[in-house]
Amino acid sequence: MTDHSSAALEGREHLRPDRPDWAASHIPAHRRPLPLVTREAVGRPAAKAAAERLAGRSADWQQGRWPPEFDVLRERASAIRRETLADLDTHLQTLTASVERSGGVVHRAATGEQAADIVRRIAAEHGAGLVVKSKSMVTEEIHLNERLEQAGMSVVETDLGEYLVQLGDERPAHIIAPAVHLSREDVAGRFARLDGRDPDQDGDDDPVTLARFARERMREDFRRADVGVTGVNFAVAETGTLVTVTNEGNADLVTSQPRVHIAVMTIEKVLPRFADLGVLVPLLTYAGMHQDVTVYQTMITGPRRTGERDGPDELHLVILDNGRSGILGTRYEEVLCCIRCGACQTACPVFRTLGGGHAYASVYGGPIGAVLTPLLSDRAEDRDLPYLSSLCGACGDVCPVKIPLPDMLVDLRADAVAAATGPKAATRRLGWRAWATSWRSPRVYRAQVAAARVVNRALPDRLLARLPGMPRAWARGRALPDPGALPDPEAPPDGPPEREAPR
Amino acid sequence: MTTPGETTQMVHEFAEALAKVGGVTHPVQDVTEATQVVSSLCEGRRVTTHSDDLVAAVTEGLERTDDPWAADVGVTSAHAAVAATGTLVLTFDESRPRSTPLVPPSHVAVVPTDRLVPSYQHAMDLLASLAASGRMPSGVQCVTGPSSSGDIEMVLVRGMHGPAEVHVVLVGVSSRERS
Repeated sequence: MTDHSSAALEGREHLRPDRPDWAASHIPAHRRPLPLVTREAVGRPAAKAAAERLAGRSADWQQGRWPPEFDVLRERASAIRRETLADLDTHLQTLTASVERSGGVVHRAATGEQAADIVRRIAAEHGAGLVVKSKSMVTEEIHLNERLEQAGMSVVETDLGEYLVQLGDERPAHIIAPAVHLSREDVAGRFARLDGRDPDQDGDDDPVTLARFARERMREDFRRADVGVTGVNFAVAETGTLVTVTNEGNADLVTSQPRVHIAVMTIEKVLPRFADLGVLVPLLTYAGMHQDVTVYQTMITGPRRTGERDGPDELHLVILDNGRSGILGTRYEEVLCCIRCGACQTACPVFRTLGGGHAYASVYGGPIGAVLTPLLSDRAEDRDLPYLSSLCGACGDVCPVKIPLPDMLVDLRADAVAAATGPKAATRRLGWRAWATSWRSPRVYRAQVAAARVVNRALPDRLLARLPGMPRAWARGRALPDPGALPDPEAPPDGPPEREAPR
Repeated sequence: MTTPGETTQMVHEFAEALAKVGGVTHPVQDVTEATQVVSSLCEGRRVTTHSDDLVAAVTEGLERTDDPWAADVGVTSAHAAVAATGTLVLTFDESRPRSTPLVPPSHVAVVPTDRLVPSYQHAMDLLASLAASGRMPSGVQCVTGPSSSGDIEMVLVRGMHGPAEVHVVLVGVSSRERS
């Protein structure tokens, strides 16, 4: 076994996690009720700063309007992704054959645990002590770092943002901006501790200096690592090419220096044709970062060939399902079109106010997480996540592959209500049913609205502030309706608006 | 076939796009002029290079090393270059290691103008046709400017893990076309 120590993680023992439990890298089996977590999240000063940074990024979004050239790409990408899902098995078979033809080894995993175990086994077979990783959400999903560390390996996240959250024992707060919740002072503090310096002493917190510090610490690890682990942005079926998109160049180092490259992808990452990259890469990078194209697209087709001086001797591709094939063919199938650009997170006012994705207490936060998590998870409490949305529709507007996220959020709420059990849920259902029945009769509807007008006039304005307990929390920021604004009792309840007669 | 007018147009577009992301384009007439530019960029620095005729010609006389980690500059020649985005398409094989444009802090690419393509889609089509004829390289790097990160407060920092400096010498641009 080779030397385990990582230069980048030296001094890690001096760091003490200062994050709340719901931001921890290890997601507990149960979490507190959402209102309690979100109240705590919104109250943190860091949340406000993160919200401002994300709002700044979101401000240059033309909400709901795409530049014409990207609008065309968006149409084509949406079609490509849906076409792929319609015949996913065939594309995965083609991909497998292509990767094997180019000399790679393909592994299929049904569960996250299986996938993590496959990676651990390959790394262990090569006597790996040091593993370098480039940014990957799926390895978060399978808790890979934990598994490899349990097996005695050192795992280094080489994306700067991922490195920062790794040092703080946190999860990424955003799909493409993992450390968006951290200030430069936070970063400087973590680096000072690593270095054995006093974090309270005024140090240089210029992002340029901080980035250089991380760069220098990691260079040795890139050279010495035994295994490189990456995610996959797109896997091209016809050629077996694995494409990773970065700005930092870390995926290139991770896939060129270590002897073994292990790539992990979920089943929906497959693309039928190589030429499809011409549509999806620019769209992904524009949606995520407003770049015409990111600095690097790393395209790997098999391990190094005879005579080549660098590149891995072995290439392994782990294809993970983890509940996704169960979504195929349901009304939520289109969520698998997602290309993980993070645009819906950046655009979501709820996500921003929460200061990032930690408060979702799941791997994926924001609108995509609020849809995907309840579909993939067995935790009953994850059915609440679709309520973390104001249903403003921004996530649907910015989605580069036109996933109807707002509709899915509503449908998942309906599913959550339907699935709820116990006396409380039964009472609630009964109440709504009674209300619906009563308003079906115009007479009862008119009587109720007339009564509401009378009651409303009689109530003191400050009534809401005087409510006890939970109702008061609900009432904060709300006002009683203006009696004049109540619907006309003579008008039909919520009927279709009167239309002009067709000409 | 690309007309001379279209090539001139692409040279300008490429230079503009690359400048936007912090890279520098050096349009030159021929290999002699390219050699002068590369020499001045690499003066007093150790270079590691891809082994192809063009790169060999323009790096003659420079101090060399085979170890990319000991080099100050990596000199390559791209398979294609995308005018609209300033992207270089680098293909790797036994004479073109992946580390050359990646590990040294500075990257100099020497690219004949006939390798310019208008758009990113054109570059992908070009690679797809390589694959169709069974010549897909084991490694391809599409690179647009110096490496960067926005992970600290979303502030753009240039020079993360890959090179901090990218120079592209476009060979085959007459002095008349440069203005």
